[in-house]
Amino acid sequence: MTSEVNITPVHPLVNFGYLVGTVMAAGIAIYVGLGVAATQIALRMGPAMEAKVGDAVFNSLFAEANLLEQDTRLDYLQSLTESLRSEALLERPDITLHILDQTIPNAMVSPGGHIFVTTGLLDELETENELTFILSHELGHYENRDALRGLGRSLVLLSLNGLLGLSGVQLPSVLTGSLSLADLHYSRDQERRADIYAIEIMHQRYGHLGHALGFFERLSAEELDLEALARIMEWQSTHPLTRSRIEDLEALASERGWALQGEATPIPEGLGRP
Amino acid sequence: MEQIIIFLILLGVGYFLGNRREQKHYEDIKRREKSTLHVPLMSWGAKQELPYAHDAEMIVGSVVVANDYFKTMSASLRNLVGGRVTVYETLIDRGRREAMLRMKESAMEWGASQVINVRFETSNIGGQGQAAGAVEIMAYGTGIR
Repeated sequence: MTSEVNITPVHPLVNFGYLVGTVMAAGIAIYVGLGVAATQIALRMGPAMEAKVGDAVFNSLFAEANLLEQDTRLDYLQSLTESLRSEALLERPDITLHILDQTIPNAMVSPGGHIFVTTGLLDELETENELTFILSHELGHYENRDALRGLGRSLVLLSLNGLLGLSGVQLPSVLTGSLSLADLHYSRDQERRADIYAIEIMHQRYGHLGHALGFFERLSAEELDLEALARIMEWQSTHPLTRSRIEDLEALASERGWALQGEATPIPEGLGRP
Repeated sequence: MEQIIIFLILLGVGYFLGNRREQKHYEDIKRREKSTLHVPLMSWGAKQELPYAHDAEMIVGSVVVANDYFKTMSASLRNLVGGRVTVYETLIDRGRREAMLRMKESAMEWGASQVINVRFETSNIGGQGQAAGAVEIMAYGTGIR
């Protein structure tokens, strides 16, 4: 009567540990595998497909956003960006500039060549060099397909989450539910590549790097915590140039013998700090 | 962050309280099973002659055992890989034995010499998905004296 045939003699914690371990190992394997596949697709995607994906992302994420479509500054931004466009970028979908009506200074790029700058950023500008640096940084992300890759990875994450939901596992929403396409972040490495890309363009265009980082130095002087702000934006943003990143860029520039100081190019009337 | 803490608290409460109660319950079940051993439970086939009795009465014992968060999580993870849901085995086992003990104890109170044709019924009570549910187990039979 009391021989326990109906109970498997296993400690509940051992059982739980085994389950968590197995499911996590499988999840990581699938995530890495699909992540590699998604990255490969992102790297091989043709311009027509990329434009389509870009439009879909734009329509789903920025349809409700506060975009200034009729702003007079758009023409200037568009022509400045076109002039920065590299040979490699000519084969990619056309670049479209957008102005986001937001007081937080920020800039970002989404797949398909949509570049966003906020009104807060435009109001803070003092020279064209600063703007060129910011736009080139975003172009760097675009040329390296960072946004597309990030999109692929988060799609994988989203579909894994969907799979878990379908299989009936109900993890608390914090572990899975807060995921969305807007939660992309670039790695340090991607940021650094975009930075280097940007100072190369700066050097090509102006022959010096003067005033390139002025904007960020000024912001950090004002003790604006861009990291926190970037999180509020909840979208891949120009990450703050922290002290160490500025120093890195300066070191690289002097290594290549590029001038760190030079004439500032003014920005047109109606832009920047009054 | 606070949601993770809440999750871990639920898991911890589920594990520690659930496990403690389970152990206490098993001790209680084993003690009572020994003390009720002298009343036999029997099942008879349709064409067999039933034992002679002066009195017969239906005796019912039922119990509702609740699931806990730790068991829910373990079981839903188990759903992904398949295999024995060991955390629910103990839950159901406790329920069956407790229901049978309650039936037996009520039969003994009535004065039964044996309980014949014992049956079990199990039903789910609420709690689909995230909410920890409960299971009702009922044992019934005919007490005779």
